[in-house]
Amino acid sequence: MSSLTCPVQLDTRRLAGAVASTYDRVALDPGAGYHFNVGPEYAASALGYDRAALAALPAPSTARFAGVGNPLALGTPHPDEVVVDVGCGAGLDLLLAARAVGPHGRAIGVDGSDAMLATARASAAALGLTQVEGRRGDLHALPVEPASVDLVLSNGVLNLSHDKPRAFEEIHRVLRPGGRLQLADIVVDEPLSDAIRSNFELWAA
Amino acid sequence: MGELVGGLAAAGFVKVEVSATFDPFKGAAKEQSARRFGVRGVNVRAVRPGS
Repeated sequence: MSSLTCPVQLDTRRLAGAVASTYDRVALDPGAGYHFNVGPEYAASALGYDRAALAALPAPSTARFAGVGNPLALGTPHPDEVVVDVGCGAGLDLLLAARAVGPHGRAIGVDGSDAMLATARASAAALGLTQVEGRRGDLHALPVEPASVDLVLSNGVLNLSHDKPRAFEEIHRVLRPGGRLQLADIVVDEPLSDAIRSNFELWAA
Repeated sequence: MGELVGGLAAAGFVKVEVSATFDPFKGAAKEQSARRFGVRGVNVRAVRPGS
């Protein structure tokens, strides 16, 4: 979805539930087949992720990847930085960022799906990445202190927002002055009708 | 595209740049719908001003 705000007739609470339900299903059964792509082969072949880097991550995290771009291709986090991944899912980008910031940095993943967060936490533990922290939260009210973050990542999540201006303001709030945002998201070339903008299935894609 | 870039600028970001495009729905069940609406993935970089 490209519009910055949702149609007034859309039940935003129901929308949030539909989005959470979709990604809970991906977390519980990544191989079930979805109307969007998932997994490490997709990440490498379509989005340019490094295959060796993906192979070094736990399979539960790469199998549940459903991003739409490659935000870390815009720049690698620096050692000791604080990184927040908004909508971290099962943690693919979060884990790559955690390795880059090292043990004295922090990599905080925020997601609305408990199942996804559990996968991300388990993968971080398996890799011994103690700098990783998963926080359950909403991209419209990030559970992150103001001006505390060097780099915000997000991959395929902001298009799910019913209030993108609020989501952008939240990211702006948590970044320190001079902090960077590296996001990947979907855009559309054609204007969307109200009927399409009110379709829960398309919002949750 | 313009809405995304404009939205980031309105939130106070500077140096907003789109640097890559992707075809995230290639081979997916909704590929035809994505094609119809010109859906594509993009990488976007932005900076919160200040030092």
